[in-house]
Amino acid sequence: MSHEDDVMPAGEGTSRSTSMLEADLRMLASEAEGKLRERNYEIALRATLRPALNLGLLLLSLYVLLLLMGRAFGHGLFDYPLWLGLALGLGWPALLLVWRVSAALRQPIGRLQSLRALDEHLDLGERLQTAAEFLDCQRPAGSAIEVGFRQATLEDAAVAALAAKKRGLSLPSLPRSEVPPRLVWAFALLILLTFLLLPRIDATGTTIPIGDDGQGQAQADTEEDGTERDPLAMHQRPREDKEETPQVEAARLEPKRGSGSKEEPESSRQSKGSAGMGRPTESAGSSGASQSTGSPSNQAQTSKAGKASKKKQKKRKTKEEKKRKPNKARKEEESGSTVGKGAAGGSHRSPSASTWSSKDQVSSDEEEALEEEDEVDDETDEQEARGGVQPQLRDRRPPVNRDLSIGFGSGKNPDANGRGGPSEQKKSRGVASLVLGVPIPDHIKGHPNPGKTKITQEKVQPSAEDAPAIPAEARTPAKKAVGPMADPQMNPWMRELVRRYFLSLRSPVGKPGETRVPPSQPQIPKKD
Amino acid sequence: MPKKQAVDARKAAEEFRAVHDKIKAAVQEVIVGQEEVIEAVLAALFVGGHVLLEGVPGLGKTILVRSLGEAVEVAFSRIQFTPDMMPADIQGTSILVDADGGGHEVQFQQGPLVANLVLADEINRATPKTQSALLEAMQEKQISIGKRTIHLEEPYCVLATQNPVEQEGTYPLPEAQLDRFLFKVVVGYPKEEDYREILQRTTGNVESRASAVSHGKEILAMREIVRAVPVPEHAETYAIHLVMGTQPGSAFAPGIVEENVLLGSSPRGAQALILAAKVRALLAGRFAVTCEDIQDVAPDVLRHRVIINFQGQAEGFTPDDVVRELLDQVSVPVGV
Repeated sequence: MSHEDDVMPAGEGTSRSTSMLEADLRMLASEAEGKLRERNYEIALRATLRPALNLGLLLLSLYVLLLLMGRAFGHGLFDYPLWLGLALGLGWPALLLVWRVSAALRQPIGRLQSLRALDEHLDLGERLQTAAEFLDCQRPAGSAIEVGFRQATLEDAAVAALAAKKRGLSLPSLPRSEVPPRLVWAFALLILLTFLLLPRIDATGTTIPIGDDGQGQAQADTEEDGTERDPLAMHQRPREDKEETPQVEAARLEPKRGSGSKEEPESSRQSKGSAGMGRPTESAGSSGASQSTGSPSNQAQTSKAGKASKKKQKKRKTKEEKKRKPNKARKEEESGSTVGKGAAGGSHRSPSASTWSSKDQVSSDEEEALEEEDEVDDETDEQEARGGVQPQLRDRRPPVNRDLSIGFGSGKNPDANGRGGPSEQKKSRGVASLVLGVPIPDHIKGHPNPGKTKITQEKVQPSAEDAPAIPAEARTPAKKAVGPMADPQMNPWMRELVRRYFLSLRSPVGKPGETRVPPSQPQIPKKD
Repeated sequence: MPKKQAVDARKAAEEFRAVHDKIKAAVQEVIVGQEEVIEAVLAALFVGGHVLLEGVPGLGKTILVRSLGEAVEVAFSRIQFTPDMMPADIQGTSILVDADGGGHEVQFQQGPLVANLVLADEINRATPKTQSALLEAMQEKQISIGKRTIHLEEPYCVLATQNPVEQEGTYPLPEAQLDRFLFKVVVGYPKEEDYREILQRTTGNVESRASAVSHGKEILAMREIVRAVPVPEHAETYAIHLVMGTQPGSAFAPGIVEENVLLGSSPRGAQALILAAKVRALLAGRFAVTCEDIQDVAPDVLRHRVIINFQGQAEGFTPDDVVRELLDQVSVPVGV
């Protein structure tokens, strides 16, 4: 047996089994190729469907928006014909689908790729693909044993091909479509909306505004409870109020002031606030540190009642503006501040309450209408608002002049008591009288306990700010190069020292000296 | 005729599997567990490569190599490397001996490197000068001492061990020498069920020894069989892509390589992949290499050929991470 007889010419397939194997492989490859192409088509279709629907949705929304804008502005600048809308909404997505699917269908699928898919599906260990390569191989034959191995591979592949012909390639079904149903429904609803809006366009092609048919106006005017809700009417009301004279306004407010006085006893009814259940308003309205009694509060209250009209003249705000701030008032009520409220507007409230509403304050709608408009603008109002909270400023007189001057002083001090108090001169007796009159102040000049801070009140509306959420991200390796580094050809022990140092820093346990070892490696035992 | 060749090939493959299994069984008479390590060492023996075993002390690395030497019945030598060791200590040196009839003469005394199975224990303790003495022996299978050249008898296999714990007073192997090892196998702790067997075998009166089941010529014949296994084109391409993927700047290198690898594998890595995959294919009952075989041997083959740069070390990447990522990123090529 010569060596040439032993060597099988590669690729020619002289034996019948080899030719049969070739035919089987060709048939299997063509079948698998068809199924793979179908699979690619299905994958492309599913992958493109969602973006196509999104695109159609976007374009149709744009079209509908333009239609509505055309109606709102009442002219034909934004009128677009139906065919354009349908072309935008349906044509582009269809084009996108066709383009993607055709690209997937045109993608070449080779014979080896098809056989590989069969090998993977049937778990044949790449036998079919290897056999096809060996049959096509133009490499010169090697040793006898290598030729034998190739032939053995082909024989194994022939057996595998028979098994593959019986089972065939059945690709697993794709997972459910990722297109959410609501997207499809939204698309359908948008198309329906488009068709519903289209009849509003008359024969000339111009749009019909919403208010021209006479029905919209009536609907806007009628309300469920009779109160006016028409924004146009609301805009007209302030003009009417501005025309009122101060007298009319004062007369209009008179009943309310009277009602305010009638409501005085109401102030002593139980408060609504959660903090002061059952407490009268006067005590509930003041802070714990500066709680005022009833009589001073009433005094401040009556003294301030007369200034309500002036304040109303100062701040001419209409009822509508007050009503527009119900939420503002609610928030003020919930602030819980109880400093000097109720000064303006003839409020019956306890002067210990501030203009900021307290939870414990009893209030009615009329009071809120009167008092919410008041703002503490200047220092006078601020101090009046405090009322009897601070007994030091009760009499509103400056602190006593305690200067001890030489001589008899410029004038008589009404507060002088001759005992060295607030007097011009202390009457000394005994040895002290022998001391020359040297001005020795007996205390430090200044305001008695003014404190380090000055409390000012201002109405601040808390406003919420939107802060974007910071997405959590896993730490990834550095994307860029570290930069120019020194020559790493350092001593081995130094290199290892650096390596261990950095590894210890990265240790998940966080303990220094611990190095992270791969799972296959055992833990490093500690040195004694 | 082709059918006869196929029959002979099948017989050769069966013979290979039989020899492999009996040597493995003989070694497992002494070593408990560590099947992956034993298979890697046997694969290196059948391919003609060398193995670097890395593990903490007490895992049976030395006894594994000794048992293998006993099972294969080849000349076995053990070299315990120390920092004061010189190249002459392992290669051999000329010594002055008494000549017959009086006088003295210089005789060359071979070193422990001249053997079939060489256990280089704690190779990283030797100085680079001594380590380089192994380079020629491992690659060329010969030793050059002055004018003398000693050809080392096949099968020749160097099984080196190193300790990853103690790094003081050690000299890490240079990349050139690391590249000459076919595998770098990490020896781990035994499993819980193996501990009991280890204690029974090692703490009794009877000392376990491996029985001789093969010899050097049989190993050489197995090597011929392994090298005859054909490699299809797509498997070759896959091995090439994997090796090129370890090289920064290559078209097949993933991002982790570009950022964290200082030096990738040389073409020796591709050779090692193919040879090791051939052994794998034969043991699996196939007659040609597949991509799955290459994937199975890639970690042991590429682990010591990928050098991580400082940035990668700072980030905590290991060569195993790089190889794992490489296997995920590099796709199996499919012909048209």
